[in-house]
Amino acid sequence: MNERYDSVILHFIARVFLVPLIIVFGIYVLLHGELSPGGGFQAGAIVAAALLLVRLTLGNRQGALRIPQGLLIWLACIGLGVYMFGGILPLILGDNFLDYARIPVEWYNQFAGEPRTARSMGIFIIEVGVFFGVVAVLVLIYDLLAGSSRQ
Amino acid sequence: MIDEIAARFPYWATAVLLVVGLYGMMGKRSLVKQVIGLSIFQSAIILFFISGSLLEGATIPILYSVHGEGHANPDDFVNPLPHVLMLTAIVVGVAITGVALSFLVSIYREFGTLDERELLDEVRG
Amino acid sequence: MRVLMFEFLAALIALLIWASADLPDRADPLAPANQHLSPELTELTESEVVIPNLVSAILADFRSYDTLGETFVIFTAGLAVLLVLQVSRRVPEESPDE
Repeated sequence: MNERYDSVILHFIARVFLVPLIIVFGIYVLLHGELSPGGGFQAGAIVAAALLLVRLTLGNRQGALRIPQGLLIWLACIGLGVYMFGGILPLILGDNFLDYARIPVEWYNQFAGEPRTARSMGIFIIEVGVFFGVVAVLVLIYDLLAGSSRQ
Repeated sequence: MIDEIAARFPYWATAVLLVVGLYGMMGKRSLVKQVIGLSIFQSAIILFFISGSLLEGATIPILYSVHGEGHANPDDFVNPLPHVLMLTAIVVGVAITGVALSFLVSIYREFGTLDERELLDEVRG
Repeated sequence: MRVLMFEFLAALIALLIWASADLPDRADPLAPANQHLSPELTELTESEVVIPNLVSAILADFRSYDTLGETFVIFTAGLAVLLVLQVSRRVPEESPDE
């Protein structure tokens, strides 16, 4: 749909300055999901915005080469798989589905063994799954809709 | 008077947005404008829920007392449940808009138009 | 039918504004949602799920089944867009002469 526009200022500001900054901020929002305002959905939307900015500046054809469509479908499946893993892991350890009180996190930090550390870890697993799912699906929808009139 | 307006304003804005969205879905012939109306309707719902979560003199729902001393007073935080519901509703809304737009692309490729009446004429033959 | 649409919409907006008189005021501490739900969730988060972010605690712990469903919905939406656009693109390529 949109073609590459060759402008040094545009490419420098967008690709060298803004995209890494937005991605770093998105990962910060993901990692601080249980400590400060943040979480998987928000971080996914932020990182998807950065990836769409790459596609807008480079043009769809070149921009989509960075993360091709097959990889996006795999990412969406991996996100759902991580979520289901976070649900089934407590089931294996003898708790209910999605009840994280006994996830083993001895390597996590000095609070290991307490239920609150396990719950924090479980929530983090869930949010990573949601993050990958949201990023992949938002970018996939944009790619398909924007590339569809190209043929 | 001012107090009454300030207490009711989110509900009035919600009502206006709901009706604007409904008008977009009912009164417009272009399917793209109907999708835009759907999106406006959805943002009215989101505004209603978020305005329902507000609380006088409250702040964001982050419990800094968890890793520190003391107990959290529930009156200090806005109601977190509407935020959770709308957080998922926003992302699902984007997905719904994506699916609707993909249907529009498919319809345009098949019939060459996005006008409701022309589509009905074409389908009825 | 189209003539009645504006009357219907005007009646609807009047009905909604009239009905909003029964809703609690904006930011009212005595509203039922703020009286019952919020204190219980805050208390449970502080004692059971010991993380600071209430929204994440509700999203990924109290309502994790709901979030699982939302993730499935998003995944299905991506799959639906993929199928609708890819399949309808591939049809003319297979039969270009018809």
